Amino acid sequence: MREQWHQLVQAAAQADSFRGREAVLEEILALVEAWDSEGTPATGRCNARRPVLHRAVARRLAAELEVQLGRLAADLTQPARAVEAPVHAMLARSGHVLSTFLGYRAAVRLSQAALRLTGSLSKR
Amino acid sequence: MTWRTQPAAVRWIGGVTASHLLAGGIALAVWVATGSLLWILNYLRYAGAAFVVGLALAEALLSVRAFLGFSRGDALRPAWLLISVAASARLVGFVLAEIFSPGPGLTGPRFIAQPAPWLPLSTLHRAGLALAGPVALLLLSPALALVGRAYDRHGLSGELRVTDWLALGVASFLMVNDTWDGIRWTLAREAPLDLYRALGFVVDPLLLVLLFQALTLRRAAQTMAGGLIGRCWSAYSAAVFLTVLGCLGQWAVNYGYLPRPVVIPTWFVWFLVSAAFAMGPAYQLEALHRVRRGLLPSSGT
Repeated sequence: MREQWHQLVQAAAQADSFRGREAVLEEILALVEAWDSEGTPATGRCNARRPVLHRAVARRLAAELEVQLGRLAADLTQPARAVEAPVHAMLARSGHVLSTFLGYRAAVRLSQAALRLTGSLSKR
Repeated sequence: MTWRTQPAAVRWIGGVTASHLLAGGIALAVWVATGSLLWILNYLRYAGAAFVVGLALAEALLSVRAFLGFSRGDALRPAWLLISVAASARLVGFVLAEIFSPGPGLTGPRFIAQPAPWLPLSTLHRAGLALAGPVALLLLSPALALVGRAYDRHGLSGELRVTDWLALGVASFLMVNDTWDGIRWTLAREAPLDLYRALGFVVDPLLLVLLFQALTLRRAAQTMAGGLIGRCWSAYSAAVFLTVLGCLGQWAVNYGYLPRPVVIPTWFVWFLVSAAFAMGPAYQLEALHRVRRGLLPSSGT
């Protein structure tokens, strides 16, 4: 998981500007989605609740990103609310910024916490 | 972010600084009311020295802990390494300068090397001032450049506004005068250009570069306004700005350009510089601690 995240961050880092990373972020989003779904049982009930639970964690993650990134968090979290998996989208959008200013380990820790929370909620 | 929701370390630094400034205000009031210099001189010599050394110690410890939060290959790891070394230089410098200090006198405390000292100072005291001043600033400048580059890479770099350029212009004018006065003083006394005096001459141009970096960083940090990371770099930006103010105050005292009542507040600026330098890594460390605590509701928002 660590190696995979490292590759994601590296991929995002290669883009020149914030806007230029959008294309890379789409790829990251797909990868993170696949990563998260590995350990989650795909029962019908869980799948039905999944978007709601994702949004609950997404709200908590958005609040945390606001504490860390202030005004910038609005740009990184607002568009994510419109998509199906907002947690993953937020992590993809904020991962590179967090990795730069808080370090790779901290970025991984935050993403792991968000994904773990998402996974545990889905199993209830 | 209100005072109660500020990180504990920041509240501690803010509280200690406010108490210290209050004590200074009382000492100043006693001087004005009674004409007795005892309180204000003891305040600057003992309480001032303890405060500056104590906060430099806190700054160094917090900076090193923030540095340890980064892994090899992280973009800002070199920046935090430089900041940690600069903070250590400030700590060692202040300890040396205060232990071997001849006392503050009525020219106020000395916290930075200058080309034209007005008192005969011991070599160790001058070495301390050089370490805490130009050496620490020389380390801080590339660190801020790396941070500015990081903001730039994210498309978050800040554009300087008219007021920023105006501040730079005024500071440049005053700094050139400061340097010129230093040169005149040196030539008039035929003072040899030793290492510490040479480092004293470096301070002004270096501060101008740092002021430019600080203003740019402040604008960039505003893109993260309200967040812990933005506050961290805003604190460093404020520390540099206050250092420039303190240096200009010291220059005005040394050469008698301003009456004493106007200059006295600049003595207290140095304590705010120490507080701002300590708050920078405190915000960074709090950001790292929050991530470590995870996203459970108990971590609060």
